[in-house]
Amino acid sequence: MALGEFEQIVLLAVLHLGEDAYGVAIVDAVENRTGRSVSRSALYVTFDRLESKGLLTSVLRTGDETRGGKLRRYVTVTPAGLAELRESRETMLGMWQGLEPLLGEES
Amino acid sequence: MSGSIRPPRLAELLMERVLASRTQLHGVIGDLREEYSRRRGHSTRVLCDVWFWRQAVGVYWRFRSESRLRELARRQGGAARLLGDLLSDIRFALRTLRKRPVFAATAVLTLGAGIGGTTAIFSVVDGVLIRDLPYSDPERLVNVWKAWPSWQGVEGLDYTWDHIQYPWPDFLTLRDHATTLSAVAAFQNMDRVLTGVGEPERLSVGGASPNLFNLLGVPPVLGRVFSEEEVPPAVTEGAKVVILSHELWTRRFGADRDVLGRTIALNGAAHEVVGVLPAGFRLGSDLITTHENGGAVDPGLRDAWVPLMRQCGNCNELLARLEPGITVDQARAEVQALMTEGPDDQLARVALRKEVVTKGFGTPLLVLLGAAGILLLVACVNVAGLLVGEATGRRHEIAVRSALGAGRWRVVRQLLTENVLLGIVGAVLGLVLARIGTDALLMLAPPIPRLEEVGLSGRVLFFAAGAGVGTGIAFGLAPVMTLAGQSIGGSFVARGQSGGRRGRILQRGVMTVQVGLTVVLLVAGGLFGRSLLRLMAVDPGFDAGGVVAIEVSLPVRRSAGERQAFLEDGVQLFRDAVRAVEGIPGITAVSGTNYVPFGGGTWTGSLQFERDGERISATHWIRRVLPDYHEMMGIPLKTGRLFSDADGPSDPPVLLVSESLAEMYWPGASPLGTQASYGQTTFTVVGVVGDVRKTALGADPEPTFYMSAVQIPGESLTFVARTTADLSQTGAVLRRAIRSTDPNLLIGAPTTMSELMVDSESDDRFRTVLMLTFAALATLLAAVGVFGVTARAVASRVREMGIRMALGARESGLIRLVVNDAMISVAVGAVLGLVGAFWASNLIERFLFGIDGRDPLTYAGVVSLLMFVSFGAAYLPAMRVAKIAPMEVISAEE
Repeated sequence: MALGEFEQIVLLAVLHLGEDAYGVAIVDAVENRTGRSVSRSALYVTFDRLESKGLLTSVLRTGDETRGGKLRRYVTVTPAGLAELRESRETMLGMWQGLEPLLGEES
Repeated sequence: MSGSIRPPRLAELLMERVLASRTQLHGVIGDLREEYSRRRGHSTRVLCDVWFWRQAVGVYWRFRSESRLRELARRQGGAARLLGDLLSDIRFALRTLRKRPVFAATAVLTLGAGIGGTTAIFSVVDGVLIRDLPYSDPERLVNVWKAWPSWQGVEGLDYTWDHIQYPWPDFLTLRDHATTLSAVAAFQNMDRVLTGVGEPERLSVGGASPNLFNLLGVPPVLGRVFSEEEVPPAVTEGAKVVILSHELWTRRFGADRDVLGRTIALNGAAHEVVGVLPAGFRLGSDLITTHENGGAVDPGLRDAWVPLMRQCGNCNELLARLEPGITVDQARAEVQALMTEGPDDQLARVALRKEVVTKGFGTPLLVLLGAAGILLLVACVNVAGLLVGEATGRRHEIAVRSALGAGRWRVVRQLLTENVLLGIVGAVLGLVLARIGTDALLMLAPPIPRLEEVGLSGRVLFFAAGAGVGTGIAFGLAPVMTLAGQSIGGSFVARGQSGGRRGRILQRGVMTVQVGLTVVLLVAGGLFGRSLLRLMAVDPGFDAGGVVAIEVSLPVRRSAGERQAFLEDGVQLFRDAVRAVEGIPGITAVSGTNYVPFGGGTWTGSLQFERDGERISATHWIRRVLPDYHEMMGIPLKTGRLFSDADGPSDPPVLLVSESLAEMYWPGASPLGTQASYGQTTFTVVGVVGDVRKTALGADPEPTFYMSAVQIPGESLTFVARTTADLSQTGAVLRRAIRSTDPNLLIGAPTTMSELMVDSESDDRFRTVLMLTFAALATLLAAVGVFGVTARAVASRVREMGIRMALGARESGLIRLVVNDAMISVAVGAVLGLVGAFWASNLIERFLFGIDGRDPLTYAGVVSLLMFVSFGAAYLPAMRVAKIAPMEVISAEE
């Protein structure tokens, strides 16, 4: 099944963050790179959804004291997630290809 | 984390409600706390709290709807699983049924026969009694008429007194002033002769008040209905407009849309065609020409409609529509108050149109439906017997399945699936049979109103499906419960043995019930059959063999004033026609009468005469006949003389009376020479002739006066001719011969006297054929049942038989043992059936002729027949005992 835009964004952010990918860091990364604010609730539901689809795994590790004893949920992209991302990218690039002049960009 | 930067606890609790897993709990709440504390570094407490609450609510909603979606998906998965189970149940059931083809085929055929018979009758009941009349808002449509109690008990008026039609003024009062009726319309019946469009034709024409078609909700497909101005002020004025039936429009005018505005001649008067009614429109005059009154059922087909006549006495059949919320009784009270014309003690009658139309037809049909129901019951019981037999044979299989972990409910469901499947297949077969059966019924059926509406409706389909599925569940349940409740260990022990005492008792009970029900049907069929035979043996009082009847009417009269001269000319025309017919080879005799026996026409009148100084007014049937009528029809002369050619138009009028009439007024004396007056004419009684049955073979012959058609001429005569030639050809030959004398004569369709007589008993024939069919089917099913039960009994007692044989029992003795066993159940069933039939005979006695509902010969015959058939059905499987090899059987079980 094809990935939704937000799902792609989350997965890409996770890849960018590598070992440090957990909720707050992902929010920061996405907001910094896209300039759009991120709905926290959407993000957490997306974590669950991607995990149930096997595109993401998560593990709980200790965080800092501001969490009041709550652990951090660190996430990583699975090989299946990577494959999905690759496919989504190819699909989009295939569609974009040849439209550069129309969009006023250099090819 | 210090207390000052702790986010609102309540918001966290809210999220905890929806965060199910530890990962979610830590990940979400931890992250939000982390961000909260970060925000606290550069923002106020309030703003941060607001932010946190917003996130918490967002998380709450989003996770909650997410979990609901998951739940929904899970539940749909559950339904799919249930469906999957059902499909696998059905697949399994099909497999098991395929493995037992004889059982499955017997069950399906049995159910099919039962459901087919019942459904066929039900479709007739549905079309005639249940379905709404084909008018708009039919449940508020009522008939309105009057009863004149002072006429009650007057000879010949025993029906009429309670069915007086409406006079014009009362109709107007009701139409304009009734508040319980939203509309009141009137219609009449008349004959009109259509001329100027090919061959002249006598049409059945309806007179309609202008609002009739609106009231019925039947707009014309072409043109318009009548207007108030078009209702003629008096009979003699004649209507100037006509609405054609769809049928006449198609038949005589080639469905030409330009027919509107055309002028056609009815009884010689010009009528402008203003409309055409939709195809299939029917409106019968069901109050007057009714079955109860000995008349034919009015199929309600009118060739054309004209505005009704105003001054025709009590001749308007009234249809009305009840105001919403008004009951029939409330309307009757108001109608009673609004009557002015007629005697003071007259009573208003209001009844639902549907009841009026189907009055008198309900009980006979319901009796037949009841009989079909018994057949279905026999079929069901048969299948139940089969199922019990099969089930006991499957105890082992069930035990194994239970042992392998199938729950009780699972086993029950599996067995029920099989039974319902059998029921559904049986219902499908039943529907096919019903389709064929309904067509056969309609061909065989006597005139019953609304037969044209009979067909396989949704209700009929539902009925058949319900019968099939209901049978599968209800009659499959007993064996299922027996099986599902058994202990597993016990069944393993019981393997291959008797199949269980309980099962055997159940099977015998089934056999008993089946035989009992069959006896009831056989007795009813037997009684109907013997009744019909007696009816057919009744002497009608004349010889119908080789007689063809054909109605001939004089051409249209030009003006009303010349009636007498017209009729006298007519006598000559009729005589010419007789002469023309006499010349045809094969015709041995020809004569004429106004109405032939069993032809449906009636004419009664009162004659006055003196007897022992007492003035008597006798109201009876009057027949006008040509001089040689009695001789020709084989009606014997008892005393005096018949009419002769010497009794000409200007000779003294003479009268013949029937034997029963002579008995009634001159017992032990001779009526000859009596002077009797009818209107202005005085007759002399010159002879007494034999009695003739005229309406039904089962009815007493009607006392009758005979006048000479030469002396009392009329507008029409039915010619009767006896021929030695082929009857089917003779009709056409007669038509041609009569037509040659005057091309303007109106000639009806020829029919034979035998046909008329057979038609008159079509009710009885219909009932008898149906009842005998049901009885025969039931007997067949009962025989199959007895065969099956005995065969299973033999199979399950193989070991016992083997031991008995080893101990010296003779084969014939064992066969007797098995047959006796079966015959005891049969005998018990027969006795129960006789009791049932005795009771049921009350219901059918009113349909019997010349035979008592408790006729011992019929009862004895039925029981003998059934015992004989059952004996055969039990003996065949019992003979298998002979094949038992005792030593093998015994050693096999060790």
